[in-house]
Amino acid sequence: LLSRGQNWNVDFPSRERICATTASQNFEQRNHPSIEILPDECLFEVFKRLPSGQETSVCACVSKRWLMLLSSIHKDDIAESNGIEGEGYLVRSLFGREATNVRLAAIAIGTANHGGLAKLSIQGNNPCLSVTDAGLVAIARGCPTLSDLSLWNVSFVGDKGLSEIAHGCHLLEKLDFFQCPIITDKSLLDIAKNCLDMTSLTIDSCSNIRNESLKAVGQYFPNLKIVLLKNSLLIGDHGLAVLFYLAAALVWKTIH
Amino acid sequence: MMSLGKLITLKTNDNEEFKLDKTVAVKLEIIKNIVQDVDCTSNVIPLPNIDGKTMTKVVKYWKKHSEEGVTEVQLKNFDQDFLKMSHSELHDVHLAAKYLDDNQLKEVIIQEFLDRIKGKPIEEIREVFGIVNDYTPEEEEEVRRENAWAFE
Repeated sequence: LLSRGQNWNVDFPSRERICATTASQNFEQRNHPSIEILPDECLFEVFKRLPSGQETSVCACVSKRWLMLLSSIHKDDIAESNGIEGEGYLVRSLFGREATNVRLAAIAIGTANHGGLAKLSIQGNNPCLSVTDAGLVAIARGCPTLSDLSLWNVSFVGDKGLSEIAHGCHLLEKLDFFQCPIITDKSLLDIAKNCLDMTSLTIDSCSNIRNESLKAVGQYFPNLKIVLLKNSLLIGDHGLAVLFYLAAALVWKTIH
Repeated sequence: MMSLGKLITLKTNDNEEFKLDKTVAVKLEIIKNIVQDVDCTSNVIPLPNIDGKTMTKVVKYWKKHSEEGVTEVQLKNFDQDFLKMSHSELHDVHLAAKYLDDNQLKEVIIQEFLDRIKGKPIEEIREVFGIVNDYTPEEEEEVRRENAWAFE
């Protein structure tokens, strides 16, 4: 089948030179005979094959890097689905300093295989380690059972995170936004198209939500019963008129 | 050159050469593409991303796995032996397999990494793989609390 090359001796000087440079390049790696040298991509492949939720949770505790990688895996990518089906029952509320991406990733991994997350409430900005889209992405990928989401005072969560929620959490029934300045119509439209069980929507002081998303809300949420809109300067009479015309099941609305 | 056209030479980045039967070599997607794309009269294919030490292992694996009449048990034993290498060597072989688009070898190595992690407590995983715990004490406590059920 094969024979080793015969030009070994001929090329020896250049070979030695090349070896010397690669040896110094590899020195650092060899000095750390660890899996840490594995690029995320390779670890990702390993993690996708973890046989149980228990193993996944153990790995999540190993390091922050491992946790963040684990929480970025789509449930669909896992070879043997060990996630829970149907409804979740766990409730998590994060206030102020507790609201970090690490905490959200830990929740995503921990609840996904042990009961399922039903309700998540994030309140207040953590001045140092604020929740960003990455944290919400972890929830979207790990918690398909989520039915109730409140985002209060989360200045750094935007459309990327919320669009992931729209695609990952189809069972959402309740959404509550308060002072989410960078969320726009774009992700609300994604929510409208993907979360058809929505019954209650609150939008308070979200400066980038406009008429367009209200139209989508009326159009796509057949079960919507409650809408609360407050301090939303960019929402005008036209948006409201369309919403009320389209959302037939609406029973309670408050607009300030 | 003996039997020109039947043998393909793979040349690593440190100028080591490996001669492979063409029928075996073209089973690999990347070699097939190179053979099709370039005029292969010289029959030397450079592998700029792989060193000789790693390629020796890869070729050893290919050779065993394309042996005629080799039994499942023999292959299993061979694989077990073959995988007895350090994490970084295993990683090098994985990179090579990836570059050569050898899915079977890639899978074998990922599975080996998985086996090295599976069933071990956190501290042992950190120790065995030399992983730096980059959690703050508070963060670690939160993560452990959220995943406490897994340790019961």
